Amino acid sequence: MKNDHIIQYPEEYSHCIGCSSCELFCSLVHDGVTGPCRGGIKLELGKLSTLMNKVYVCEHCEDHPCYEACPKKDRAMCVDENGTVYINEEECIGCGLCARACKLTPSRITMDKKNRKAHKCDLCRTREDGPVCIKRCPVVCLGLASDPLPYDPEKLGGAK
Amino acid sequence: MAKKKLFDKLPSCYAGKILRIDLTTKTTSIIPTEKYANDYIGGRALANRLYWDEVKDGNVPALSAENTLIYMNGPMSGTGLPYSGRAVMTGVSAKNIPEQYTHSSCGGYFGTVLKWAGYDGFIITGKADELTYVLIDDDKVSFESAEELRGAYVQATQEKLFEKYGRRSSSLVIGPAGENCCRHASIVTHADSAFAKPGFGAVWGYKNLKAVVARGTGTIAPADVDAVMRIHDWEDNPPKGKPETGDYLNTIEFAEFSGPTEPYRQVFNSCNPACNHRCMITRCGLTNPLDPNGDKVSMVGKCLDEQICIMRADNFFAFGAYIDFPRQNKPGNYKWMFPQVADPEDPLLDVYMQQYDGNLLNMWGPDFNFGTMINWCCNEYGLDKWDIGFWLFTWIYQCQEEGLFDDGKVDFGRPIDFEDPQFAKHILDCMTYRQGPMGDLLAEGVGRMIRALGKEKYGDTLRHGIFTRDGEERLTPVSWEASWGEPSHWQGRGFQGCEKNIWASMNLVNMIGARDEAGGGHSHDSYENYLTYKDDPCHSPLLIKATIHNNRRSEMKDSLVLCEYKDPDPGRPNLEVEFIKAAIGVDMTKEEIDHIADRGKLLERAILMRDHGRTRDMEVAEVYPWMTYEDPWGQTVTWDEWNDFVDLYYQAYNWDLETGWPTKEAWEDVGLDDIADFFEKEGKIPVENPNYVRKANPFDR
Repeated sequence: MKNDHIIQYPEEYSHCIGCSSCELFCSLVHDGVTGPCRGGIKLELGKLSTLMNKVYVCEHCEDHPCYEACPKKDRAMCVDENGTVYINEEECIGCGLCARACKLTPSRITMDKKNRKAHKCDLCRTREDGPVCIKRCPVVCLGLASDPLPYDPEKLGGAK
Repeated sequence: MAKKKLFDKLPSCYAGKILRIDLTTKTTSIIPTEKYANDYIGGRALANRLYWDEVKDGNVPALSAENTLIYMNGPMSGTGLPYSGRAVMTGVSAKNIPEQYTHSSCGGYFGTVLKWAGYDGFIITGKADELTYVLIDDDKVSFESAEELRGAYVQATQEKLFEKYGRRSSSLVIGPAGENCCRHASIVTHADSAFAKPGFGAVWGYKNLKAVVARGTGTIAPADVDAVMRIHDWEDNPPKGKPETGDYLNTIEFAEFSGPTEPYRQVFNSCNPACNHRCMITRCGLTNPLDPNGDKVSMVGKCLDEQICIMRADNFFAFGAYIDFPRQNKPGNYKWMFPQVADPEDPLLDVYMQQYDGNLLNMWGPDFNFGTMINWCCNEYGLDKWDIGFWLFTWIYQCQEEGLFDDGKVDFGRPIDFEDPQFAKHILDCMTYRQGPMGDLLAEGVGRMIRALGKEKYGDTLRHGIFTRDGEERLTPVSWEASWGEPSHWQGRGFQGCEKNIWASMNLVNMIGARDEAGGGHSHDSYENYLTYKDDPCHSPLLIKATIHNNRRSEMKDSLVLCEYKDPDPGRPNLEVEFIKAAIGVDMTKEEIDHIADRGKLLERAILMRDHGRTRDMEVAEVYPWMTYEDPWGQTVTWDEWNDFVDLYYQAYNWDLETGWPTKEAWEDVGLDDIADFFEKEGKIPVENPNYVRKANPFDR
């Protein structure tokens, strides 16, 4: 059972072209900067010859092992009333236990070794417009799992 | 106007350093960006100033250790602003005839990653003693052997570098065409974003530079994140604006379209991070033309690929007109460049759509597989698609149609066959690898090849069989070379059968530079102005004003650096003001922005004068002959008409009518007093000649 989270639509609906807008805007709204990868959302670039790219993002699991592993539970790793698992970075000590506890592969928690902080998706929980990655994906390949799909899976064709 | 100081401390949208790389000595040094950013902002304008300062004598062969290439980002790169991921490269072009200083721009992710590594740009000089790549890994820069990459295709090279440095690294690479110093060689990044037209790939090849790799852990910050977001919101839902008259295209009709023979998926996408324009086209699931039994491939391209691959468009850029695109990958908010995405409710739309009624070109039978082979070979060999698709293959076709190959003196080593994709591959193999009887000539570039074969016959012979839609035959040369060793681009003949006001304006732009000013330099003006000069454009101060306006937009597009598919945007006249405020945090007026643009433009002229002896006679002689052939409406210019137009242009810039050199005041007006002093010592500050008489027409065709 999972709480609401970001999903990547099937390529037949919209093709992720690896532009990295999702990562870039994640950094911009959380930190005010762009950087190689803040870690809230991770883009895995495919081979250049195929341009098949994947997006990895926290699924906000109901059993949230990352939260359970945190030595500063409820201060550093927290869960809000909607089940969104988020990090209070001021309290995070960068121990990395949450990243190791994540049951998904690759781990959806990124360690910023330089600043000794963990980063993960917080679904832009304080942002009025909702997750910025969804809003700013230029090809609409991201959505919320809880939202009605913007397409009919039955009608999705294959190659044209 | 005095120079405006933009900032006291370099804003955080800049990385802060420019890297000087000497391949001969394998040494590097740093130039602080701050030294230049206030006066030259970034990109092309900054590169021009750097080049002036760094290169004391640029009259050097393109293929030489002494040729200095400058790569520059702009302040927008990496900030998250839409269509801001491009960068520019300048240096002596290997393709121009004659070789001279010019520029190119490129999309992709490299520029952003380079900034994260801490650099706004780099300067390349010297020549490595073996095939080398330069690794920029944050502060650490190293020179690595690229011998194991020798001969590798563009994508294989990038994949190998990904393996070594991770998929978050980014690289600029050359393919085998660059290694073999083919003058049409490009420098490529990611999936087919390229510095292509000036043949800088050949320069890298000569310098034994296979790639520059960047990997960074730093950050870049726009001054105002909320403003960045607001700009994106606007771009996602642009208010309706009035289209301009402009560079809409002549309609072209080809013979029966052939292929594709297998299903594939076609999507729009963007070429750089945070861009919401989706102007690139990716075709997914295609058979790899170079490895038919290998994995399926996705082929990226944009307008040009559409032309080469599809070759069946009632309009040249008929995006979406005949292909069912997936649901969300659809074109974004282009500037008013393509009539089919103009506001369908605009009352003037019909007028625009009716204006352009171009030629029936009667080219080879359009063939998806033939075009795909050209595309993929260009991608993998690292070749400029424009020159290959629009010039080389049309030249072969037109020569064949005119029987110029009938005597057997030109031997391509394989029968000409436009139905066979392997013929396309054969020609590009010969060019890339300098193989076969024509290999070396092809590698020297189409313009030089034609001169070597004999331009009078193989360049200037008139092609028959091109007709206007009313059935009248129009004769143009078999080679579509227009000026400076470049094929026609918005110059009224060839593929772009635009109206006289547009091609006259574009020829002015090309005349004072060294290449076509694609994109930002496209001709734009209001419809009301167009109506005033459409019957006599060459005597219109209004058209001169529009041309200079477009020059400025082109300069700023390449200095900020933005994308030619969006800027200038007639629907958003404050675009540059808003972008500069959001990224740099500085309030600038349009006049102040124009001032920087003019400074950049004059710096280019200074380099062309200092290093290549540029004069009026030289540049008028370069562009005039192409305009003596009839456009689709039967229009030409006379010698006096064209020179009247040039006079107006020079006067508007305050340049001397006789020499084409800027006056001392012209240099000083844009804050280039030191350059005025330089030319004063050189005797190149013009003195008004009261006895100046325009030269007689030297062309008698």
